[in-house]
Amino acid sequence: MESLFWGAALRFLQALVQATPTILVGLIVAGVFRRLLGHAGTRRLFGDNTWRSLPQAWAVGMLLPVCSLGVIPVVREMRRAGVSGGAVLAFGLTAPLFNPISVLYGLTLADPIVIITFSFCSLVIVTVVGIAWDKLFPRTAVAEPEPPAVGFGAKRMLAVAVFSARELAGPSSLYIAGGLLGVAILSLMLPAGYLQTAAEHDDPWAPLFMAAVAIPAYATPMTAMVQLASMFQHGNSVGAAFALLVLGAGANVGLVAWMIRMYGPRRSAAWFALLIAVVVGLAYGVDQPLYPHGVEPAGHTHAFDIYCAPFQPGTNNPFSLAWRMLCETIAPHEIVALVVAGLFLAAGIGLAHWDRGGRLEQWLERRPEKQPRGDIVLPGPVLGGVALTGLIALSIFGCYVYYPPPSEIFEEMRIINTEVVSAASSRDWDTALYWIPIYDDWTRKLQVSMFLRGEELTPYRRAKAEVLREKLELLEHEVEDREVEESRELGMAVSGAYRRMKTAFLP
Amino acid sequence: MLLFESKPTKRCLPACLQLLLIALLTGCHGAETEEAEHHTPAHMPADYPAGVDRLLALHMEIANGGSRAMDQLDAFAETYDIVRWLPMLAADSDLEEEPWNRVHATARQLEAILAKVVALNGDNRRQTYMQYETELDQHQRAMLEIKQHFPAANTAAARESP
Repeated sequence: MESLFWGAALRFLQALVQATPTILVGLIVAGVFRRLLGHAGTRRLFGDNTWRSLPQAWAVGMLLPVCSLGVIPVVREMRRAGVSGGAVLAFGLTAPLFNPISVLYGLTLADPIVIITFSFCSLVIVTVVGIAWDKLFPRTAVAEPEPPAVGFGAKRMLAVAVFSARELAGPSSLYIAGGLLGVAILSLMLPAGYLQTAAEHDDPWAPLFMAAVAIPAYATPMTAMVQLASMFQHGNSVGAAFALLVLGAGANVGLVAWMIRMYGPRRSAAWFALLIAVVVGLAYGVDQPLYPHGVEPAGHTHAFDIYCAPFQPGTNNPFSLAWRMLCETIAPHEIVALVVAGLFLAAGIGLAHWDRGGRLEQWLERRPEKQPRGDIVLPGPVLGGVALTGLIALSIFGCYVYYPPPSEIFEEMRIINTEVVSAASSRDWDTALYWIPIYDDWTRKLQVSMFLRGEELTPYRRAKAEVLREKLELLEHEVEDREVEESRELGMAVSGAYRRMKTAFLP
Repeated sequence: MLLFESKPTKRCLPACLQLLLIALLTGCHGAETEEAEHHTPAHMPADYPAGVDRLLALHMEIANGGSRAMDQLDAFAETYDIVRWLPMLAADSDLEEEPWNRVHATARQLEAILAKVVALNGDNRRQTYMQYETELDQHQRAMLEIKQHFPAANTAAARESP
């Protein structure tokens, strides 16, 4: 019981930590919509409730780097701006699926045709479901009164921050907590490793089963793409991978709760039934044609372990184990995001307590009596457009930071290789298990980095990286089983595969 | 705006039904699951030269019309598997890019032939396989030629074993 509780707490916190950067992005995007673009600008961005709404919502969703939790403040603001229900839901579903970093990862590590097909299928889904929604439930676009425009200068930036702070201390947090709670409950229902054989290619139920599991699961776009790459490497069901991407990365319990509250249970149930029918139908449709060529099914995958309980029942001292696992997985940028989110939350709570009447907003909305001299006052929508374009440009720049040049990656890998080989030889199992997934991740980042910098990723280079990953996976299993001699031998084999891969990539 | 001004979870019946569905599909647990094993198929050769040798032996077996017991892996299926593994076996060595590309291309062509063969059943398999004898012979010679690049001590399996 204790291990179940701390396991669920760990899954809740891991998802929160992963989601925080994209939640912040979502808050800023919502703030830009409200304070800079305004209701009319927001509606224009999403096609002004015309036939263009659905493809435009899909296209904007593909570009903005938000996850299914970070999209909650954005869809709330879209609804307040009077965007049609079909377009709101289309954006809410597609924005978390892809972003520039994850698409690059997918294009390089899975077959590009798979990612292009999945993207096209997501367009089909939002178009079919969105058109059906707008036909079945017209007049769902109800704009709320628009707040007055903000004054010039720094006040506009401050207004975006104030909105984000209030939003984070408002209902958005409750919906986000609902989404995270879904992750925790899922881990209580699925024993450790339960999904390892849930997505086998020869299992006809795999896409359906994955669709059922995926909605309460939470995955960032990057996590979903890593899982996709892993599923292709292991020869898992392509249909299950598609269901996981659309429903796992695209939806969560918090988003479902928001939808039910906004549009009512009857409409929401109808929308979800249609969504699941289209997703499952497409999943079965792509299952055979997109199955990767020449892949040996591994018989299992660890890609979904993060949705299951992290500990076996009866694990000793689960609290300290959970704490250690949390500390090990937290990345530096996530710590920064947590601190910023904490500041926003504290400011939002403070404003909710001491400024219920919105005196701060009244001050922000007060315009100077005289036009500033020698200064050009840009309209809010122009600034909003610049902010959104800047966000997209920043995420493209982020690709170059996330995937550093190959020479830097090889320097990292050299150190990690030494750690893994020495840990495997000296029976330091925990150190080996800590470094192996990081090592694997760097091999993938290397391929994306080459692709990003226009260097040719030949079949030879791909095969060398694949051999290294295969040996790392075998080593991981031997280390898990505490096999002394096999671990030592595989450690040496990993080192040899690394040397050969380096020669192939940096001749 | 008040902190948590509303209670959005009051009407979340579909979400609860979703969780119930998962519970039914997965079974409310408490049961321990075992770690899945990553198994290397028993018929996977140790390295490229061993793979080529095995392919030649299988070719002879098929050409001579040999039959296997029902519980044994079919010779065509084994050939097909080894052909698919061949590029990775070759990549797990110091073989350079140009000869590796030839292994890759040869394996692809052999794979296309064998895919047609394994899609058939019974006696048709051998007959169809033998129809490609000229191509098979060319590919086998190409693989044997590349095998010459492998001195005994140059394969991963040979070098990294203690």
